[in-house]
Amino acid sequence: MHRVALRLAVFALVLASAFGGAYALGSATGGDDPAPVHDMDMP
Amino acid sequence: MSTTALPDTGDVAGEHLDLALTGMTCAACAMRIEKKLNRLDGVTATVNYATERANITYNPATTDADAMIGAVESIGYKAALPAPIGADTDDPALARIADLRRRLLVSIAFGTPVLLLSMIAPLQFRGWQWVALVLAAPVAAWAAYPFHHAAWRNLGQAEASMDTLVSVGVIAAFGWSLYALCFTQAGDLGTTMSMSLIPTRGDTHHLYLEVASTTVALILAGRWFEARAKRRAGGALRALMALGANTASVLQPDGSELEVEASTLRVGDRFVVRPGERIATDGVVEVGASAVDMSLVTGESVPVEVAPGSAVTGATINAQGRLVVRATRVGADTALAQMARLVEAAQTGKAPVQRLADRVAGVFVPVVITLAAATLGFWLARTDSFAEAMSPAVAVLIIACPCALGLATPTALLVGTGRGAQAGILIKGPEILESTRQVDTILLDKTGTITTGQMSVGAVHAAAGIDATELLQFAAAVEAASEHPIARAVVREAQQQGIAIATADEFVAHAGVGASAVVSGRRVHIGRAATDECPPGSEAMTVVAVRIDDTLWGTITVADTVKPTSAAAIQRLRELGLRPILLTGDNELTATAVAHEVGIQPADVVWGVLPEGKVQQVQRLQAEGRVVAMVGDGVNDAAALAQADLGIAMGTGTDVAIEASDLTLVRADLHAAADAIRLSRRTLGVIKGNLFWAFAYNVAAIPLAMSWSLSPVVASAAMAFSSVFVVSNSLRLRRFNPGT
Repeated sequence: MHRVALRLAVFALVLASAFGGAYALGSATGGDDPAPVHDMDMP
Repeated sequence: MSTTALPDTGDVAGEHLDLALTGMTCAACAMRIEKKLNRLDGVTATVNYATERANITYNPATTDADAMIGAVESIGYKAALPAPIGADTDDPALARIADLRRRLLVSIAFGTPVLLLSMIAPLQFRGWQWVALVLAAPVAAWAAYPFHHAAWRNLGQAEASMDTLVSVGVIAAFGWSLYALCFTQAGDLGTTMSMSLIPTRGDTHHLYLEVASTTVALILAGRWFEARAKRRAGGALRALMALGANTASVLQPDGSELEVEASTLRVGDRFVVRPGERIATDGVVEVGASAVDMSLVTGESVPVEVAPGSAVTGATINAQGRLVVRATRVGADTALAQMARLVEAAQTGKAPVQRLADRVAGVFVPVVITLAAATLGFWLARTDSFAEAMSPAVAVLIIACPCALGLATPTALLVGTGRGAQAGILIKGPEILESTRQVDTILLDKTGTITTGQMSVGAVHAAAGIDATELLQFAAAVEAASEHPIARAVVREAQQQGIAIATADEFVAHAGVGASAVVSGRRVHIGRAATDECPPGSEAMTVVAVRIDDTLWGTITVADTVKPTSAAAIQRLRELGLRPILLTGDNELTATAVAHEVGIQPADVVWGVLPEGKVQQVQRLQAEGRVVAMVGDGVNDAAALAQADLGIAMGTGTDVAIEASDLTLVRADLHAAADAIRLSRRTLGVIKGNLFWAFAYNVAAIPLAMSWSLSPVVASAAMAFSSVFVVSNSLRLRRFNPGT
């Protein structure tokens, strides 16, 4: 059971750092974002 | 309950117990249950995914069956004490197939309209998206439930498999669509969804309902097909136990006979066996003499002569005279029951095969989830809108779940097995093809595999001044009245030579010795020839002497003949890089004579082996690191067929051998074995190619999804291309050409 908890915790950590790292990258490279476009034709 | 005391091994005083398991979806499940059971005090367990059995040795002082069942159920599977061997144990497998079929039908019925509505804009009536949601909901929730359940169980073990991938993809696709319908303009009545090639950055309300339902339908179809193939694996034991005699005629003290169930026989009971009947249980002959067809145990085609004092084996067939047998072993102690245990042990002891797709998914799933988290983080920083940032993150999860994965293995197997069937090769389980990497050694049973398994006349040696045709004519006239395999061979030879068979009078069968009769006024006696009467070079054959009016007229040699195609087929097996080894229960002389005829090295001949000896030979070669195929046809080959990495049964053989094998050859020809090896290698190659391409298209689309440049058209195209590729790649197997 400990091993499972450890593996899940490590994975959560990996997820958090991926999220955090990507967030930092997004903030650093953030510029003008184009206005959202979508492919739904409104009524 | 099949609890039997184990032989004393000196260290662990253990009891043996089998548990029937349900709820396993992959080999990883088997390993998980095995780990859980082995953690219990005093328990040693092996779990077989194919037969859905746990084979357990435990110490009754420290644990019991309930505790073990509880342990299995605590990790989300079901366990029960199995029904007795031979009972109809099909129900759980049948129920699983029926369940998959129901879910598949629902997902097709509800998923097809969703797919059409989503892909064809002119069909999108006012409010279509809500109808699609209602239709997709049972598919995503109920039809896909087995995937969600397995994924949840995997999560509890911090592991991931194909189920996790499918479950995550379906939940992401359906959950996102539900969100978009409820909280964005996508839910407005009159909204239509057109397919556009323009990257849809900022689109927060594309619906993925068709992805959710199509994926589920395709993968369920694959599972259903595999479950049907897997069900046949458990049949070997049922077929083996069906061989036993059902009833026995027990001899009462007053001399009368009482018909009883064979299972109620006790040691010491005396029972009668008439010609043509199966012997009810292991015993010793007390009265009578006969020839007994022992091929069940020895594989040897010549019947064994028995007389008072001879030991006989249950389930073998009494060919000639009436016998009275005293039972010496009953129930679980008989040779037949031991053989059943050998087959089961060979099946259970086999290392579980982890499916290729699951192995890939085990790495792929965590990577994809990590990439989705990174995508979410990146776009959250860029857009400051959680709802918008979710769109590409969800797209990553959806695109990572490849529909084509569900098709990769089943289509290759469907085409491979179909082509195989045309060529006379029936492939049983898909798992075995995936695990059969490179077979390098092939064990060949002699009787019925290399040879025809049928006695035929080799030569007629007439004494000086006697006409061989006349000799055969007299012999055939006597033998025509007998059912003995040697007699049948003599009659067949006479018929083939166009000899008219005369009528014999006063026929007497001398059980175990021969037969005599009066033909055309002369007394003809046929019996086993004395050593000095045998012609030179007949050491490996059976020789019968023909005496007319007490004068030796000559001898007839009878032997099991080598099939005309065997030598060339063995040469082909060699060309495929295999080392052929002859394995037989027969004697050394016969074995080496046959090996010489078909071109097998004398060093590669193993003779005089019993069923457990055959298993040991397979195990010995496996321990040397060889990947072993075994070709056989007899009941005595069943355990070795199950133990081998690739078991190949001759279709003319017994049901037991066919059930215990992985491949069955309809043609009783070794060329088909070479074709089978080639076909399984080709099929495995195609499965690997399919898995690669199923993932490759989707992996290529992940960066597009992450960069928010993935349009639904590209996503659909990736799915469609990979599916088309996988199907057409599998269809290449149709061009497989046997015999080249």
